[in-house]
Amino acid sequence: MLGDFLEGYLRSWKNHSVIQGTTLVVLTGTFFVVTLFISIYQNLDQVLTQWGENVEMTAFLSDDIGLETLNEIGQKIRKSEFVRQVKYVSKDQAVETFLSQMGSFAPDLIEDKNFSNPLPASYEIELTENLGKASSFEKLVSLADFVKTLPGVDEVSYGQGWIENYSSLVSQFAKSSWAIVVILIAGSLLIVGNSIRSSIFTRRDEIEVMELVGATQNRIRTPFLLEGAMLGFSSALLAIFMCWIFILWQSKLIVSELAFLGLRGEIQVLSVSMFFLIPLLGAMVGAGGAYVCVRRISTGWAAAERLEQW
Amino acid sequence: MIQFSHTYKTYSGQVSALKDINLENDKGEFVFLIGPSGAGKTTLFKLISAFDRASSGDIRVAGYDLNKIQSREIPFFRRRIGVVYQDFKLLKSRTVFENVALPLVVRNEKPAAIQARVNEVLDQVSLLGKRTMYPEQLSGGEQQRVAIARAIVPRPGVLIADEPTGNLDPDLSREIMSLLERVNAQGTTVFVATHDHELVKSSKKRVVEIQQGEIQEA
Ligand SMILES: Nc1ncnc2c1ncn2[C@@H]1O[C@H](COP(=O)(O)OP(=O)(O)OP(=O)(O)O)[C@@H](O)[C@H]1O
Ligand SMILES: [Mg+2]
Repeated sequence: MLGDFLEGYLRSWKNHSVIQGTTLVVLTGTFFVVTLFISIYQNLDQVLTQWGENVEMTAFLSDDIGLETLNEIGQKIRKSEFVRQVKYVSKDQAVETFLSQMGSFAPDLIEDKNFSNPLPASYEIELTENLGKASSFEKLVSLADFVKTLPGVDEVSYGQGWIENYSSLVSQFAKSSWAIVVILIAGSLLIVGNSIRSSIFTRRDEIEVMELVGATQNRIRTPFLLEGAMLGFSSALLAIFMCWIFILWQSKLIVSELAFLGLRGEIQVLSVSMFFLIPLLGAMVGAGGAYVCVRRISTGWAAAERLEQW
Repeated sequence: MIQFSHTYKTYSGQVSALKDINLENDKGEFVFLIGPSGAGKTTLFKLISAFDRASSGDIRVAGYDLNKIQSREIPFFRRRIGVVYQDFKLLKSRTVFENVALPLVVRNEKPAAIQARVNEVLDQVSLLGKRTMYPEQLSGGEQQRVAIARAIVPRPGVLIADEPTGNLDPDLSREIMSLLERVNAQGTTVFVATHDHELVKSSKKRVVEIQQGEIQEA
């Protein structure tokens, strides 16, 4: 069966290599764009993780809470999802940090003995990496909302403004990419279908004779489905390879041009799961495109219906 | 084994190729179908092999009611019958061996068994020496014998042959006829369409005559 398939596949290539070649090129281009979008999205999404320490939440505490409430708040935050570590910063420590950071701008302040500490005590909440993604913005918000409801917590801050802007940018990108990807995939279905239709056409005598000597529907259809799947799969592999080269080539440029993002040269080509999922998607698109055509062949009466069908 | 009752076949609403066919071939019988060109012999065979559908009336072959047969059953019905087509229907891109092996390949037989059986049958039609050639490299008579070999290779219960000796010289014709008789002797029901009246006369088998789409039993 496999031998037969390979033989038929080679025959398809031999008989209409131009169509097969064109299909492969167009599909590879399509999957290249799809892979590139996915890769850009994953990198954009990762940027927050790379800025790891910036995605930190601070819960400012009321001045008038007792030790018990303080501990209770600490416990509750620590037990929440996505929280890696919680650190208590007292009013004094807060001032110290403030002075050491800002002291040079206001040297008088350090000297001022009557300086009454306006800074609140706080919990600095270190988040797990899972939350350091643009796509996790909503989870971040709900964690903040939860912390805010705890009695004794006055205010929660986590750089709302810029994270929100950034994550809406990323989700905007994701949405428009989706639209393009859907169009591209629909196009690839048609292209694969076209190629398979031509395979079927060049092998219609073979299909007819196979039917007449008692080949089952599956036996006749499967090779064409596999041919479609193979086209999709190999195009997707080629596309990943090209994307990989392309990104490696571009990433140096991106890192130096966009140095302010502090990407530390950690541009990822694709996540491991995508390495498997994209070829699988390719194979599925290929088989899907083929299925549309294949459904019309081998109804048992090919010989009789041949004139009607083509 | 083969049974027609009030069967009609009309092509594209105009040409009435078969009219009220009533015919019964018993299991193991050897029957000739004769008639002038255009009488409807090939049409009759196309209906028997489920190559085409009747316009009305019943056809039963090898236990299948071809009017009611499901798409899914057709391959299994076709495995019960062997057909020699008037236009051979050989695959140009396959060698003689591969063409003859095809019915066994689609039945998923083991390669070794296929090898042995195909060689045996090719020997019976005197084509063992040309097994690696392509149909287009063969003479008309040789192609015809490839078609015969492909029809008998799976040992079908019913064999229908449309002009199987049409392109053969008298010697080869006799050889092929005796091969068909041997196949028949092993229990296969054989139905042969032919123009060759000499052949029919000398064999003393049952003869069915068809004229302008109507059966005239001799
Ligand atoms: N596909 C078709 N469409 C229309 N008419 C057809 C078709 N096939 C056959 N016919 C007509 O049906 C009639 C019977 O044809 P058929 O091929 O059965 O004759 P035959 O007895 O096999 O002739 P021959 O001995 O020349 O092979 C003829 O008049 C032919 O023109
Ligand atoms: Mg004929």
